[in-house]
Amino acid sequence: MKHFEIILQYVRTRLGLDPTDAETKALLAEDFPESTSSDTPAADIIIDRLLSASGRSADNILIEQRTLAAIRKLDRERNKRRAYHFFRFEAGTERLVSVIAACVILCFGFWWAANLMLPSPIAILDPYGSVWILRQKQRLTPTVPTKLYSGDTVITGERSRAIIRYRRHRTYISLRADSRMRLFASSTGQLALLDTGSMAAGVSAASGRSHFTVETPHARVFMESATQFKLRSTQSESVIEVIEGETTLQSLSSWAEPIEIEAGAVVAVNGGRRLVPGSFGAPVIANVRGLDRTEIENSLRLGRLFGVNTLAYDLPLSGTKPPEALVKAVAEAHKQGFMFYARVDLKTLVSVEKKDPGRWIRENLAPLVAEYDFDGVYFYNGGDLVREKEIASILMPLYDSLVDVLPGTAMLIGYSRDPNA
Amino acid sequence: MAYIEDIGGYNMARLEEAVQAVLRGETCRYEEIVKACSPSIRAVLSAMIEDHDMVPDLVQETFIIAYRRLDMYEPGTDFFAWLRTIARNVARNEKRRQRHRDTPDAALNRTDEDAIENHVEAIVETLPADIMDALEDCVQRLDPRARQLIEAFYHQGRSVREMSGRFHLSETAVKVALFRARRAIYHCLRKKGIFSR
Repeated sequence: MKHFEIILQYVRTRLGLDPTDAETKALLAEDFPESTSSDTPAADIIIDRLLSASGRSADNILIEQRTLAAIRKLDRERNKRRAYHFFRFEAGTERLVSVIAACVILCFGFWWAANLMLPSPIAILDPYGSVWILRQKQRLTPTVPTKLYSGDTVITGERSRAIIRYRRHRTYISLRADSRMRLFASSTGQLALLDTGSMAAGVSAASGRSHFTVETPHARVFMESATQFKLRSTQSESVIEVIEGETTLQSLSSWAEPIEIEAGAVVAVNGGRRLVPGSFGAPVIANVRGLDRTEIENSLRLGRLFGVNTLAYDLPLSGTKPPEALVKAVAEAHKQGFMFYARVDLKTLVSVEKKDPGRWIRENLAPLVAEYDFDGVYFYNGGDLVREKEIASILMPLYDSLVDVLPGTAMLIGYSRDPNA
Repeated sequence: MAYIEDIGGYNMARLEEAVQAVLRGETCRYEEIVKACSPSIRAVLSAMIEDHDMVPDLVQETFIIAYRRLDMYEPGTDFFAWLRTIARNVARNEKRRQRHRDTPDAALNRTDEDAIENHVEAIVETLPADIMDALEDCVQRLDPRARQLIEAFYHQGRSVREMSGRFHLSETAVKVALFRARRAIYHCLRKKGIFSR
């Protein structure tokens, strides 16, 4: 009768009925006959719970959402762990191979992107003697074979030479002494601008579809096949001598037609002249190297190569007169188209010498500027950028003093460091 | 009647295909499984657990365990049965936790209840996936007065005392009437093949 005891217990505790109550007795007699198994209360419990659950059917959507949110969170954590395990040392060989392959692909990608983004060299320069490269306002002095990039300017000094070898084909340029050449490259070809000086070149047929062009201030020379030629450019003319092959020459005069030049021919062009650096009006100043004849000549020659159009001489502040040679130097500079300025160290003038600048200009500077035929005065502050504001505050009175005593004289103000640098 | 061949309007073949997809790595397909099976799993857990507030947490736990161990499921076998086994174990663990929280007096009274709960577990194992639909159908087949009592007590949340005043019956009579209504549902379900083990 264990089953019946269970049922009585169920009726009492779960249903909350009193088995001695008449209605409960009737219920027990009708619905729980002697043969009833303990499945009856179990089924009743299940139906009771399911009915309660059916009354809360709105929970279904909430349950789904919560469950899916928990699964997504689990996924994220699992992915994080996967990424961590992927790079652990105990990872399998396949994973390691995958990592190495990915690294190689990435490195190749970076290298390729860097190649696209960074400028690639177009030629190699072999310097012999005094050779300089001007690159983005920097002057480099190469002593060993050096890479050249598009936009570089190569300058050769006295008794010096530069061999320029192009990287993509067997074209070379031999730049002779006292020459200045700018190099450019584009997708359609190579361009070399010979501003002044002379060169010899061997253009390879391997340059293929990319044309090779050399320009001087007077003419443009095209090469489409293997050619050897010499070219000289001076202020007044350009002369080309074709040794082997054939070139096309075009004068920069607007009316000129291009002409073919065969091996053995020598052609001079002295038509329209293109402006080269240094021929513009803005002063580009360099200090004169010295006052004897050789030093003056060197200063003018190098000045022309580096695009300098104004020479300057450091004027002593003590009131002593400069040497007589300075008069000849200024005259020679004027003769060759250069300006000549008196250069004054403003910092020393104001701070060290303890002089009154206005008085010094009137008593010392003005007579010298007039006597030596200086074109102007160049004040520089010795590179002391920290004192820029202080120096600026004394420049205007200085300018007024100068205009008073030397009307029409140019005055330059240099915040920059010593031009000799 | 429909068993797991058509769970929540979800075809068994499609459910099996979704499981395969998740196993291949398309984890987003697990959402389909949750949507198809959660009403049935909720029914299983509701049938086993006294405290209905616990059921949502247990449904979530069931699906998380299933997701973690999905690679242990043998494709082509009965996925819902596999899921129901997990749900039953989750419910058992919950009951065990509740027992640890019981007072000594309550623990003494548990013996008879444990016997009934063992029967409950055994019956739950045989419940079809669409038990809730079958239950709803049987409620609709009750005589009007019994249906009113069931709706007032289970759906509207009325207490026995409130129903006693409303239906002009003693509280005992209300309890007996509710029991008889459930009994009628039981017989209806038996006719549908449920509870007939």
